[in-house]
Amino acid sequence: MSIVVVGMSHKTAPLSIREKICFSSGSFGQDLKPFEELRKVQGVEEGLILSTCNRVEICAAIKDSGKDHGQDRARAIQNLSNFLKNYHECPHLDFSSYLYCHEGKEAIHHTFRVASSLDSLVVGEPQILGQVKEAYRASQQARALGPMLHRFFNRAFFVAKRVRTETEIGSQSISVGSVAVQLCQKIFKELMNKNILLIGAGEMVEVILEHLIQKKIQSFYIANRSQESVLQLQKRFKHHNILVHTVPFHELGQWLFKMDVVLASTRCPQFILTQSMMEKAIQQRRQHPIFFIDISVPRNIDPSIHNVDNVYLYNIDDLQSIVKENMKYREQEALKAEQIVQEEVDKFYEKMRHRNTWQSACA
Amino acid sequence: MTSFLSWHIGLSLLAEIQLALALVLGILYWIQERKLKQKKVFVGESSLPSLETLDKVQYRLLVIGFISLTLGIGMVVLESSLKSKQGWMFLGWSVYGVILYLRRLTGFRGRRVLWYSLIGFALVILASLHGMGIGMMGGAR
Repeated sequence: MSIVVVGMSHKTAPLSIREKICFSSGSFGQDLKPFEELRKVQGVEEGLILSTCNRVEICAAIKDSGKDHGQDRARAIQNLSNFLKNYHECPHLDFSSYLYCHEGKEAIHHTFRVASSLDSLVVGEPQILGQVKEAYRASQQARALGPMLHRFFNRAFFVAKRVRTETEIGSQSISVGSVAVQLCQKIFKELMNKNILLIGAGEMVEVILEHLIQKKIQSFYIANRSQESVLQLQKRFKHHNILVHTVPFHELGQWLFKMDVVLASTRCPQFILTQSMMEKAIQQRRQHPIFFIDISVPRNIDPSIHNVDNVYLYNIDDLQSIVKENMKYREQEALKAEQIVQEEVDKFYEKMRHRNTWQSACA
Repeated sequence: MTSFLSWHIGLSLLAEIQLALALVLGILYWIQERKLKQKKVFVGESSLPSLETLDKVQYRLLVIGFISLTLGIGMVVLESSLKSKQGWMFLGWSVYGVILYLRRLTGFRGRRVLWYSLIGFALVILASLHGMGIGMMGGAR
């Protein structure tokens, strides 16, 4: 028995091709057709279908006839790529240049890398492991898995877990929104009871707000010149049960001392908040820290307020430079992860080889 | 050893431990604050607690440390053999008193608390060492 992987990913195929051969999640849950068809593929003993927005691939355990292993594998790979074409009813489509085919040790290496999020579009993102587990569950329910792939995928989950615990591949935020929220948490333990003020209602503010909502904030204040955008935002966050309070734009200075986090994103060409306003506000709030995120261009908050004690100001460049640093850090951690994966591939391959030898001897 | 003296030593020791911990938290606060001010927060670091947490715990430790120290000094007043130690101890106690007073009045925190705590702690430790010296000299006689 050996393992083969046939498929395509964001690295090998554009979306226009990937979308033609993806398996909708509905087809996993409702009918077992893809698995039934997969089982009919000649040479395939066990199979697993992984279909995400960035990749579609089939991992299969194939039986070696005992004569020519290479030919068996090549045939199985050809049959699997034909299955992809025929199942999606696009027999005329030539996607051989987009497909990758791995066999034996390479297939093990590939799957361990995929499960450990080393082959993802955003290296270290945590969703892929859940998606592989989901694919494993679906294949198991469809009785498409046997002892070989069962062992193989459980090992892949173990490797992914090892990578997560022994490296910091997923520990650093790599989006501006999540970096902003993590910075908030460097200052405040919890955000749910904090006063958050949004100045302006731009798209980026909404992105950061989404991240703040995940931290269970219960209300926020908004100051905007146009009431229309405020109403839109109120409508949008109504279903989250979040209270939206409005603050008159010209009274910002008077409200400032109440706020813990201030997010500014307007098209105003001059500073809305100045150092003198901030010095007064920080005295009024008895030196309790206050965190400003200014993502507007041109800037809306006077950068000199960062020099005031207990006031922290980050602009869009600061957030992006943290994102870049975090990306670099992830890449370094990915190198450590690759070593772990290689070590585990060698171990698993050795075990598999011993098992195969023993089984052939018994047969 | 009189019971006042035993109480004094016990309470002073307790206060020193609490104030030392407050000092450590003050240092951690300063490190975290510095990173945030220099905008070098994330890269490959083990994460420190939030400023809010560090500040809260540090304040509590300062309060209970100050109470222990006050009670410890109270015992000295009743123990005439340690009168010469009182000067340093009282100075240290005053520094902590100023920290807590300013905290209530203006929200005094962060870097400034750290510097004041360093002075206060140095004075308290100096007083203790001085006290130990007196004790040992008394023992030798």
